[in-house]
Amino acid sequence: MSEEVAVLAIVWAGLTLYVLLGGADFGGGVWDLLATGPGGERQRALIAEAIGPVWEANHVWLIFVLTGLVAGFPSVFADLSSALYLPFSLALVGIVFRGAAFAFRAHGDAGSAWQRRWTRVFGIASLVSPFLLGAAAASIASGRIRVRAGVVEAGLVEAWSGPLSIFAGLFALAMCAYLAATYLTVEAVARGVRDLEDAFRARALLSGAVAGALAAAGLPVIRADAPLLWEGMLQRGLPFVALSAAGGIGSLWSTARRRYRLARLAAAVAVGAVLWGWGAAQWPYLIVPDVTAAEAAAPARTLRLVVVGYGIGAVVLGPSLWLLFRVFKGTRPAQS
Amino acid sequence: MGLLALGTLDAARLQMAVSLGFHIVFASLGIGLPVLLLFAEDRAIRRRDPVWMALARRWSKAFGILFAVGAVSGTVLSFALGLFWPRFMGRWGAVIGLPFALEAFAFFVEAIFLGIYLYGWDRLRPRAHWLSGIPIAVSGAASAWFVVTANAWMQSPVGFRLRGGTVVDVDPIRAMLNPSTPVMTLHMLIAAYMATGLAVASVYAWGMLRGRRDAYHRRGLAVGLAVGLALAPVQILVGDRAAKLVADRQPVKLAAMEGQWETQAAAPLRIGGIPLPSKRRTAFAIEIPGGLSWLAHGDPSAVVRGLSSVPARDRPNVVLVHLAFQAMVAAGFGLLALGLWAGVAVLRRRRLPEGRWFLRAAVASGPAAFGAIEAGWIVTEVGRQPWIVQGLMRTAEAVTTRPGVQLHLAGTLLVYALLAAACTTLLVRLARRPPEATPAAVPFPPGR
Repeated sequence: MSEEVAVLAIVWAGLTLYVLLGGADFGGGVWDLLATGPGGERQRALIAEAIGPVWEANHVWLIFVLTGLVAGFPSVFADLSSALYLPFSLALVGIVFRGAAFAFRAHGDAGSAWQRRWTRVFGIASLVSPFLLGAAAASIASGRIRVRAGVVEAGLVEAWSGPLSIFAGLFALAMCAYLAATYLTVEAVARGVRDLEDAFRARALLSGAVAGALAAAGLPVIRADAPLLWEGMLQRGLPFVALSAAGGIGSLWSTARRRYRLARLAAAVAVGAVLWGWGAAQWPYLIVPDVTAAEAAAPARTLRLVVVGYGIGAVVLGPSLWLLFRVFKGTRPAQS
Repeated sequence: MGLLALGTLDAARLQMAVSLGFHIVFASLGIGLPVLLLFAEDRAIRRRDPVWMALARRWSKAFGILFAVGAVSGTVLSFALGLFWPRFMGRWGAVIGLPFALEAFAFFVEAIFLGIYLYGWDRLRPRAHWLSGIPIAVSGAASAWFVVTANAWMQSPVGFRLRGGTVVDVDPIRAMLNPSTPVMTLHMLIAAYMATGLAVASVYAWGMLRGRRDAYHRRGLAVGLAVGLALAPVQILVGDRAAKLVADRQPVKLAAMEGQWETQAAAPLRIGGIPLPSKRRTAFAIEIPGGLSWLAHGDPSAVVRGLSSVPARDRPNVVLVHLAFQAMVAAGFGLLALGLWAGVAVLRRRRLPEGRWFLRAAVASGPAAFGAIEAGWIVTEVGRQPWIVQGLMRTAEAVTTRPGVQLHLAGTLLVYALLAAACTTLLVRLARRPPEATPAAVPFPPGR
């Protein structure tokens, strides 16, 4: 396997983990925003408890993806930053407010105006960022970013506001909400709170159905708006599409049967397969239709060092992540 | 608004300055606080001491707020490099991408163990909890080291060759270990520890001035001052090495720092003063004959290059660089003096002075240290202008061609002002709360 494929696979794995973990944190924010009624505060408390210890680590997957691009495919990082200047900037505002608001509200007095305000900010920011990041991501497959003779051409707004981008933004949001609700059922069961378990079970079923419907509705959009991607999907992408559908159906079935751990795994498979299907479908392009991975890759020596660096990093990172999730997400008796 | 009238280059530079200037405060605290936390918590566990535990618990809360803001403002920077300087990243990314990629791992370890540390107080045994703080301290320092190596490379670009304008023979390891790396990374790390210690000292000195002279405040003050002031003389020596390096590799930057207009032998060291670009001289400075030649090259009669050795378009903003450098040096020596005051008192009376003037000076020491960090980065970055990569790429060549950077700048100022206000409100409330009112009053969480 050539070096650039190895680096790209690592970056893509990082992106997958960002969506599965960081995306679920955004989804938690969405459910926080939608939490109302007498049970609302309890839902918020569960969301905050579930996200609190892990959101910063989950967020680092985004930095991992960015720095991986910088090191492995510097021109792609530069081109995408130029082309997607506006959605990236706006998504950043969301990312900044989401993280800050989460920390700020945790340190306010319960029920204070301060806390209500930052809770609102947290929720809205959690809605905005995944939509924009999803829309921006789809734009690289839609052919609206052109790179001719090393110069990037893209409309400031047009590049990421085509049908595929709008669809992908909504789909990303739905996937985040679906992942979050599914994960939160496990959190509720671990704490032995039946009403929250039921609440998030209903939300998982609903958002899972919405995400599935969106996925189906998205197929004609892809066909019309991104013919190259569509072609790739029918070939290399097909196994992933099937896997994603199986995962989605499996997760809804196990959620309905209250087998939440299985549902969590299946939901992660469903969403992860979307990302790998997308990647497989647009291979070998990084920016459709002008930039391929091989053309954009850094020199082999840099790529080899990056792979070695990642290998060494993984030795530290793996056990650390295991510990984090063991301490906060492991099976444990409900605490008194 | 005047901001919107700026050109793209100026707006992008100011945007970068605001983003970095904001982030560096939180980043520095993120490097320094874990070390203070480890110390306090170790004391608390070892001596079963509720006061140390109260301090550790309180700092842990503050750390949670500060780290969150540091993490998101750091994310802004990783995007900003591409958003504002796409041609810099595109051309040189293969050379300096490696430290960024490695930094991601350091940041990862930091964030992971921060989660464990902040939320693990009641879940882990005391010693296990303490241990979870160690990776935060180590990776915080590593993180700073990686990021500063990338900046050091912009001062001393090595690790590649240019063949007909194309970057070839890229050696990322050599680029990371460029000549500016050792001194710059050390200077920044020491600055972060100093500034954190002194910021902590400021908080407790303020409390003592308001009459809260208990063990909690005395210890907070003592720990902060000990870290901050003990490092002051070391930092001055390292700073001297940093200036010598600049003299060797970036003589025009040194000339701007010192307000040295003409190339001359036996150049004087100027203390203070204001460079007058129209008159090409530096007025109102105290001049020590031969001082600059000696400091820069180890020989009082050595020749020091002046600003006039390069055309005006290759010079940085002399007024800003000189004043920032003077401010940083003044802060450094001010902290050295405060350290001597405290040191002499401790040697003679076995305790810190508690007079009003000493406490006032201690209150000022935190802002002074952070001011010095900001000033130091102004010297480093503005002093390198007009280059983004010293001698190889002009900042104007690297900047984005996108419109609307001015709006982005205005938005950033607004968002950061809001965050700074909210963060300050929370920290002030946290500092004002008496230690008993927090769960910290429970000396030991029940182990499981």
